[in-house]
Amino acid sequence: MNVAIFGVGLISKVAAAMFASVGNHVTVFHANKLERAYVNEPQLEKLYARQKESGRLIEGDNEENEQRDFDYILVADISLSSFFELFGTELENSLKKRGSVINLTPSAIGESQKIYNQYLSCLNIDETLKSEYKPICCVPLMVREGRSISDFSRPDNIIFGCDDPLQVAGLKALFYPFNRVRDVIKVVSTKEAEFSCFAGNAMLATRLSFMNEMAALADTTDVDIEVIRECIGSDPRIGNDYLYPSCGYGGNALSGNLSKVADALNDRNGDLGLLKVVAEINERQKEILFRKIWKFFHTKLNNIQVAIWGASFKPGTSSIAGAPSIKLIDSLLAQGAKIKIYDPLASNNIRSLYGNNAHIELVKNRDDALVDSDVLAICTEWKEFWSPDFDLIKTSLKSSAIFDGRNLYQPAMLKELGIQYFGIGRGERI
Amino acid sequence: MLITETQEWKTLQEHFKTNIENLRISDLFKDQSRFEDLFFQFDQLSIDFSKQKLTKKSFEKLIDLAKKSKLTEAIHKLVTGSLVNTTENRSALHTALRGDLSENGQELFVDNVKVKSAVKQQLEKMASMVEVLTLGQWRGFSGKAITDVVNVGVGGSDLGPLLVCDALNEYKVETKNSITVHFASTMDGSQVSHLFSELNPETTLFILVSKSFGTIDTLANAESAKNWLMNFCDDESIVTKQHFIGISTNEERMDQWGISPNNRLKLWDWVGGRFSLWSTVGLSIALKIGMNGFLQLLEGAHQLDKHFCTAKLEENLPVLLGLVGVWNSNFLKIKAQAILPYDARLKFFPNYLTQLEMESNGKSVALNGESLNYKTCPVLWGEIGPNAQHAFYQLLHQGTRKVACDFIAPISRFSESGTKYQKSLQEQHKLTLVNCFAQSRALMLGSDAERPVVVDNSSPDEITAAHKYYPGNQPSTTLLIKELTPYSLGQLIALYEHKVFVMATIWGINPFDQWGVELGKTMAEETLSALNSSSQVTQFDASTNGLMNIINGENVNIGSANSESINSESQL
Repeated sequence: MNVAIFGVGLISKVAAAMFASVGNHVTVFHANKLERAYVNEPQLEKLYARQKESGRLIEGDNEENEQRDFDYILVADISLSSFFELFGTELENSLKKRGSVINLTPSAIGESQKIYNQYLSCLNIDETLKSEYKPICCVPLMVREGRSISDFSRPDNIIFGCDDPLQVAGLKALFYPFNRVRDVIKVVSTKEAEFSCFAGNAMLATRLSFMNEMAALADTTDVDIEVIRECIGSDPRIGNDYLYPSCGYGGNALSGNLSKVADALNDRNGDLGLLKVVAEINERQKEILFRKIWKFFHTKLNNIQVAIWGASFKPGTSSIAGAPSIKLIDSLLAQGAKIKIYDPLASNNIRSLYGNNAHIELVKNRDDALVDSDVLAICTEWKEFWSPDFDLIKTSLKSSAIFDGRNLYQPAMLKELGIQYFGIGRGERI
Repeated sequence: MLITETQEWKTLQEHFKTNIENLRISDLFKDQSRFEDLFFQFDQLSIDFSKQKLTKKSFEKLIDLAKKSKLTEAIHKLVTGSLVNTTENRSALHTALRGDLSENGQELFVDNVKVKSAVKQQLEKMASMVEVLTLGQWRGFSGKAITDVVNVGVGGSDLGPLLVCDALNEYKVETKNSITVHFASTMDGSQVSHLFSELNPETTLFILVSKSFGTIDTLANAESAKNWLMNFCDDESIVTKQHFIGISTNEERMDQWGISPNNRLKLWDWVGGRFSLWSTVGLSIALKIGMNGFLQLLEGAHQLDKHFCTAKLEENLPVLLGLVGVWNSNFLKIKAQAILPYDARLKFFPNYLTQLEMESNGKSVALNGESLNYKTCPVLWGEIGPNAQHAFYQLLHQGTRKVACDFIAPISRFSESGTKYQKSLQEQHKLTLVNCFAQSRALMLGSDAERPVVVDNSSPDEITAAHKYYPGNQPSTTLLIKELTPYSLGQLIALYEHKVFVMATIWGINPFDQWGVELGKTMAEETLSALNSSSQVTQFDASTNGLMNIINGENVNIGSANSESINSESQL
């Protein structure tokens, strides 16, 4: 089938690659015109390249392609209103005949309906002819950075937000290859799909901020938060997912969706700001590693060198959007400290952000960061950080201390090794 | 020669007796062009003098008086750094604080200091502090970003920033890290104690503002603040380094107190305290309205300075305002001046002027030390106009003491009109303006009828009529501001600064010193040790002795609520 994809980021890329990989003819539009988000997932890059080679995926920027009739027009990573502003009129043909517009990344509750009505009035469609134009559908994809391919191909659920029952069959046909093991499709209205997308993300963010609060409590009560996490996670009502305390979550999905719900709630009276606080707790978490290092050095950070492991907001991606590492770097630089940072994928992003700042050095290997550093801070739980050479850490660091933002290590073990260990809600307290 | 001995003064007295004294202000409006003749404008400000009890001719003769006082020369001396503060041998270069700092602006030298470079350097240092604070990178002892800043200062180190921060609340900037500005000035510790209960020590920073860094009020508050912080962090060096900024001329004293070198902003002897909000003293202002807003404030004042220096005396707003002040004080013999802003954003303006005018011109000695035989600064106070209408306007309209009034109002306000309440606010603004104009009109016109004459057999109605009678004939000035902005507020304040200078020049007094504040301070120091003594106080005057003994009797230990001492017999 002919699929058009308009988008700038991860979702559009994985959708393009995956739909092409199962045989569709995919045209990715205006890939150059739209700002390219710096997305770097190695497996995804490879898959995308292979689809291009095979000819199933083309990056179409010429007139010819724009006139083709598409069965599906997928919009991802940009808002529906931006999409219609930029491309709406060009797609009139497709929309009239049989094409469905499917929004993969909703921006507001009620968006699909609102933009659809706006679009119709924009084209001055007569009331009687309205039925020829299919409503916009919403299929919010729960695809995580770092795991985009597996999330897309083996989803736990697929939500079809669809206001016209006649469109369901078409959507099912498109998603059939990814629904084969068992039927995970749920058909709801577009509003319900949009709402669920935000609410789901907000719930996950709330769990994370909740655990970070518990970690703060663990600090004052001298308890190991890991033990607490296991205990409460084993309660089937709670479950184990999204219970890890840390130096803060990043990325656009959780924060973006959380703020949409928080803003929508704020508009009504009686809002006590729960979700706003969830977001504030997360921003506070991003400060924690700095504050501990500040206290460790008794406020004197001028010329102290901090080794940082991990810059991306989560492993598996090069994205530093909302990453706790950035806040740590900015705070340390403001105090005159120096930084040696290692990240397997995100170096380029760090370089673009900090340019020629003499106080920050990017290293190619994990252990190079330790050379001449006073302490080590860990911001991202890349697998290669899980079992490092602790002896090397101890001998390299001038003050053998680790500020672990991801609770990777065992406090007892590090104590035996003679390394001061400051975790989030565990290890030594400062 | 005192100014009263000059021909020009005598001419004015003649003119007053012959042409003005027996007329009513309303009579003067027979001149059709009166309003046009007595209405003046510059940039954001317009002033209506037509409700003053004077004529165009009066102004001409007042200008002659100003010329006799060598006003133009005096203005030039002021802005070029002459030692106009004769008793302290200093210049008064508040105009340089907001002057042209580009290469084109003139360079002045005072005490071998390049004024322009010094000012520029401090502005830059101030700007960088503002940046660090508003980015959230100025950290308290526990590593959290500073979110609350307390301006600790009194007099010139308090009133100016307090006025500007309050008046320009709508211009508060949104910054990455939101900073809230507070003020603590009083010796008695009320404000700091309130702040101690409200604020988080981890995120609070204190700006200590004192030209001498010896102001006891400020140091007392600073000591309490330091002790409060040390309650939570026992490392004194960390507390002083992360939680205190000092603004002063006195580097040595700042050093002794423990202000970290990077946390010091400079002042100079050639800036008077009550003229200092334009300097680093304005740090709290810059934190609230941003560096750009602060520079706008300076620019407005600078434009008025240029007007003051270049405009002909006849059209020079501060000159005219000052001359009217002298006219009312010395010729109409009015002993009080009320400042009546018809805009609650200016609620601290009258307070600010009490220091600016009365500390400058509350003098009774000429430059050469000769005692004056004429009045100088009137007693000045004020309140938000519409509120004062319910407070002391009774006295203004029907009291026995004449008061000269300055009515101040913004022309534009509440420009948005989308919602119903926004329209309603616009109506409130209109209501306020009409009240402003109506009050000055009422003060001028008074009652329509003649003053009723009451005799023994007057009827109750006649008696009531006597109570309800308004004499009118009260002079006032109405000052309109286009719109209240940092720029126009700077202009308004500079206007009054220069008015004060004009009046001082005519009166032949030094507006830049304040010897009168010393004696009380010295006596307070002398009496402090007696306050804790266990024996009877007898060394002072009987009143002081008596009061001290009451205090000593009631509180055996000052500060500790000791029930035994309260119940014990106190000796008088």
